[in-house]
This record gives sequence, structure tokens and C-alpha cells, in this order.
Amino acid sequence: MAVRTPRQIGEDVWKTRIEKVNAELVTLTYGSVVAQLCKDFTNDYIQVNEQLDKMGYNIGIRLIEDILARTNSERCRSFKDTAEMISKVGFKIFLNITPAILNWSQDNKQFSLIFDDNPLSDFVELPDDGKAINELWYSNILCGVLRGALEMVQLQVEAKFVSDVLRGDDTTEMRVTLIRVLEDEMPVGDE
Amino acid sequence: MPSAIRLLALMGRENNPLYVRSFDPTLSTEDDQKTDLRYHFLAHIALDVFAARLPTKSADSDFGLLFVQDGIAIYGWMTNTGVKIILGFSSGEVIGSEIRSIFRAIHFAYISLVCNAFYDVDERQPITSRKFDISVRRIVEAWNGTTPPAARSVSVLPGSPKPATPVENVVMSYSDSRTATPVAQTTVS
Amino acid sequence: MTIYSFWIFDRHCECIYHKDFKRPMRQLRPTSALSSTDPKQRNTSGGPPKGSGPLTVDDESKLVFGVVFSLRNMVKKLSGDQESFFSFKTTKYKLHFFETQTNLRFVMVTDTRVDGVRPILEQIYAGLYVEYVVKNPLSPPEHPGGEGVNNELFTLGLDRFLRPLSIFE
Repeated sequence: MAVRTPRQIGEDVWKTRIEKVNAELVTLTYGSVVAQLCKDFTNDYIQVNEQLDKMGYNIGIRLIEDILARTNSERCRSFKDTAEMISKVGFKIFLNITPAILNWSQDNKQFSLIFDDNPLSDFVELPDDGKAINELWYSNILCGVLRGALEMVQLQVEAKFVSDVLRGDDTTEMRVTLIRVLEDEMPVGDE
Repeated sequence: MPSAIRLLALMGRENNPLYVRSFDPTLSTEDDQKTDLRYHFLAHIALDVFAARLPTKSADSDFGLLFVQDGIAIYGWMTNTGVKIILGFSSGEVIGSEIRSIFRAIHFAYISLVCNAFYDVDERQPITSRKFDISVRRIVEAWNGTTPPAARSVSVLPGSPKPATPVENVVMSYSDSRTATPVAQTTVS
Repeated sequence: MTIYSFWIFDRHCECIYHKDFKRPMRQLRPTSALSSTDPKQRNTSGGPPKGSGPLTVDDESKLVFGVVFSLRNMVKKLSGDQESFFSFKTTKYKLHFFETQTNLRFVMVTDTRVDGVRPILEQIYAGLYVEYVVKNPLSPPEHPGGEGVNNELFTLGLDRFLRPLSIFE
């Protein structure tokens, strides 16, 4: 079988093996989660970011199994391959977007995902309290998802947003940094 | 001269003003556009007409021309949820069925606003969203001048004599069919 | 052709699921019949007891995992990280192995004539494990002691999936 590119895998899975759900439903569900968190933490947006990241982590560690089960793809050989898979397969099949991969660092351990279109933040306008626009990363759940998913394939990363159109920036950009490749765990009590 | 939008108002289910903006070229500042009493007055008169016609109308429907006052023709639309959209046009060409597309566009802008998770729908407060401001302004500006007249599918043929029935302070029924009695005003503009 | 047993190990090298089907080899001693009741002592005792006494389920799981883990590591050392082994065979049985990228390890022990078990293991992973364990929001993300894996849907699904197969007799 010919080796398929991440783009082909993503398109293929998206077309044939994904059950679709109304985008507004997702947007509104996510929106009310964020809005409720803001209420629960009395607009402590730093806390809200953290909670979103945690929720994302718990989603990510499950989603990765789903991706792997659906795509049956091989292990990535480099972090560059991983970035391609994240954009062309991961984001494609779950959100039907393929964020651009840009701004690689010299050592190839850092890259940016640029979101031209972010279904989570459709309709959204940040609260006009002068604080949210500087503190809240509305789509922070995505960072957690990436962190959780990659940890399961032995890649410890840090993911964070550095700009967001909701804040008035020109682009929505997430910075992903590879911290280290995790070693396989050894059985307990095994020398 | 084509009819320009002079007033856009959204009134809530409880007839509370959600959004009142005038697009009167003589009002230069945004504050004036928000607060000019004449337009608030028009929007509130419209509510009475809505109330009067409600028994004969179904929800989500076109209430047509509500009345004409001070040279402004007021049209109305009520959504399923009881939000009233009110548009005021200056005198000019007859407004036909194309008005529906404006109502739809404004309704859509309102839906987008409501879909913002941080917008509190229960609140009886006026709309302060900048995004909503921008999108309705775009709709109004597109209508008022920047789009070529052909794209607006006006019901009066170019060159045809302008219907010149002076109508003032009259509440009249409105039909959106193209053959309906032309309605226009000749007063100030 | 027969399936003898089936195991799942997680990335922490713990056995999170085990099922015996037919066992022509010697019977296992149930775990509860251990002479030592202190579980800590069991874990630190340095593996299963030597000699020919009956094995406990715990001991067998450790043995099975020890073998596949060492084999896997050896294979990777010899021919690179992408490499994996599929099965090995003795005169009595054949052991099939499938490891996901998330380091879940699926093991099936069958008689020696069985071939092509890897797709079956992949299907158990994609169609049963992911569907009924991973996607169950009430199941914990980690499965110490098999918690969350040993649920009815998964167990029944596994049974229903394996029984009609030709290798199951």
C-alpha cells in the first residue's frame, strides 16, 4: 500500500468515517462551558484558562486513541511529521480545519499553528470588562487536547496561545514546544 | 433618490428597547445617533402598531409598512421569539420584497449576537456589542449607497416615473407583492 | 484451532484485562489462594516463584508481559523504533502481540496453527477498546487493576466478536 500523506488520511477519514454534528451545537456547548467557568471562578480568567487546559488534557488522552484507531497510521518519525498529523489529521477530523504550520524554531522543536478559522469561537465576543481581553484564552481547551494527546504518544509538549483574533490580534496562533520524548515505562520491580 | 435607511431598532419581547440607531446624515456623532429622541419616538410608535396587528399575524412574519411619520416610512418584522425589528426609510423609491433580505440579514446578525456565550439573553439591557454594531452598520451602509442599485433588485424600473402619492401620518397596510400599490413619500429628504 | 487466553497491558506495564478461554495447559491457581496475603510482598518478591507449582494469574500476567516486553525491546534495538514483532511459537502454543502507539499492548495466546491474529487484535483495539473503554466518559483515564476496562459492554462485545471466528473452537 502506498504511503498516504497526512492530508490524504485526514480527508479520507473526515469524509468516510466521521459522524458529523451540527457546528453551532458544538460552538454553543463550548461557549456555555467557558461562560459558566467564568461565572464559577468570578472572572478569574487565569483560573479559567487553567481549567480549560485540564479539560482539554482529559479529552486529548482519549481522542488520541480514537485518531489512531481510525487512521491506523504509523508512528511519526520526526516532530515535523507530528505537526503535520496534528494539523492535517487531528484538527481536520475533529474540527474540519487544517491550521497552518509556521515559524519553526531552529532546533525544530517549536512551531506555531495559525488558525484562520476556529469553529469554537464563532459568534464569540469576549466580555467587555477590560480584563478578559488581556487574560482569557478562549480556546485554551485546544492546548490541553494537544498536550494530552501527544503525551500518550510519548511526546511531552507545552502548548499555549500567543495571540487570538478575539483579543483583536490579527491572527490566532498557538505555540507548541516539544519538551522531551518520554521513555517507555518499565515494569515495576524489574531490574 | 433611493430610499435610505434612517432608523434601525430592535425591540425585545417585553417591548424593551434593545437597540436603537439612527442613520441620519445630519447627526454626526455616534452618541447623537444613539440618543436622538425623534427616532426613539418612532420606534415606540411602531410597537403600538405591532400590538395592533399581532392578532392577525403569525410569528416570524413581515408586518409590512407600519406607518409613515416625518417623512420616514417605518417597516416592521417580528421574529419567532417576539423580537421586533424596525426599519425606517427616508422617502424615495418604493420598498418592495427586497426589504425582506435586510430584515433577514439583521435577524441573522441578532442570532449571531445571541449565540455569543457571554451575551446574557435574559438581560433587558440594550445591546452594547461592537460586533453587532459593525455588522448592522455594514448591512445598512450596503443598502444606503455602496451597492449598485441593480444589486438591490428594486421594484421600480429605472426611468419609470416616481410614484408621488404623498402619504403622511397614515397607518396603512402593506403587501410585499410587486404589484402592490406603490407607497412613497415626498416630504423632506 | 483455539484461543487460549487474551491480555491487555497498559503503558504502565499493568495488566488491565485478562480473559481465559480454553486452557489445555496446567490449571492456574486463583490469586486468592496465595500463601502470602500481603499484596506488597507479592509485588516485590521479584517475579513468580520458580519450580513447577501452579501459577497464579498475577504471576502468569507478569511472565507474559515480561516476555513480550523483552522481545519488543529487543526487536526495536535490532531494527529500529518502527519495528515490532507479531508473534512467537512454541511446540504447545503461539503468542500474538500488537502494540498501539499509545503503548497499549494486546496479547493473545492460541494454539500453534493459528495465523493472522494481528488484524483481530487491531479490531479489538479500534472497535471494542476505543469504543467501549476510551470513549466511555465514566471510565477513568487510567485503569489500575483493570478498573473501567472490565465493563459489561467490552466483555460482551469481546465475547461476541471472538466466538464466531474460525480460530475460536
